[in-house]
Amino acid sequence: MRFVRDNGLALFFLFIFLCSAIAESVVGRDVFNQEQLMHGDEAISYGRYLVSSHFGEAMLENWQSEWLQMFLFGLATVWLVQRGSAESKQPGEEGLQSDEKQRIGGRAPEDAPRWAKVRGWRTAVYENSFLIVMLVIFLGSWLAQSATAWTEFNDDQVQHGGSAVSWLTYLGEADFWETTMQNWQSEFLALGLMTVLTIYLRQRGSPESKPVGAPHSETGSSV
Amino acid sequence: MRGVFVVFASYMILISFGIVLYTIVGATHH
Repeated sequence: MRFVRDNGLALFFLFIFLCSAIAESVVGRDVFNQEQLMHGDEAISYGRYLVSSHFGEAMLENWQSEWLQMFLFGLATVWLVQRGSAESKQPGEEGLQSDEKQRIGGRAPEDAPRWAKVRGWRTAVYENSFLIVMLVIFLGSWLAQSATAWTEFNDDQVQHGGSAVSWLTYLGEADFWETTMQNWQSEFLALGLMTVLTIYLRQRGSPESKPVGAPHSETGSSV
Repeated sequence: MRGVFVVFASYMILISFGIVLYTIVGATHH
């Protein structure tokens, strides 16, 4: 049971992700089949729906915006601060900080990750590894969204007597940008809101919050 | 730390699988 306790946070979110994704696939198939029947087409099986562009598009358009959000937050908090926010570094600490503070190269402790100790290109990669991976999975998810949405778009076009378009043409369609912006705007607003709410509001026991008694002027969380 | 790595790897596999699967699904007009 030590495994469960040590990994409670990640396992909890994995569990509720799986529950939500399954629920989404069940009701998503209902929506899809209702449309099929209205158009005089046949309903599809649950297994077939799981590998459909309808399901993929619905899931991936939300995924991409989450990774973009985390990528941008990781990047922006290097260079920008918000006085009083639990999510921010201290004003005056903007930037990449010293090797000493970041414990890299000769300043790395014995048990530091190997790539933090060696300097050169490996340290350069490792010190940006979070943003690199977030960017790659954001671009990957956005690509998957565009591919599935393209297929959905063309199906709709053909069904209504229009003609199918190429993937590149689809990237310039309002349909693609509407779903993209619809997801981006909510993520950006949520990040901004979290940044300012944590100036004045608290959650006792959460590392996302400043200690309850911390003054509003105190920046950064250190529970 | 091995258990922690298993959880980390599970997430990475899940996300990579989702991206690759649905890119193929879309690209093959499924």
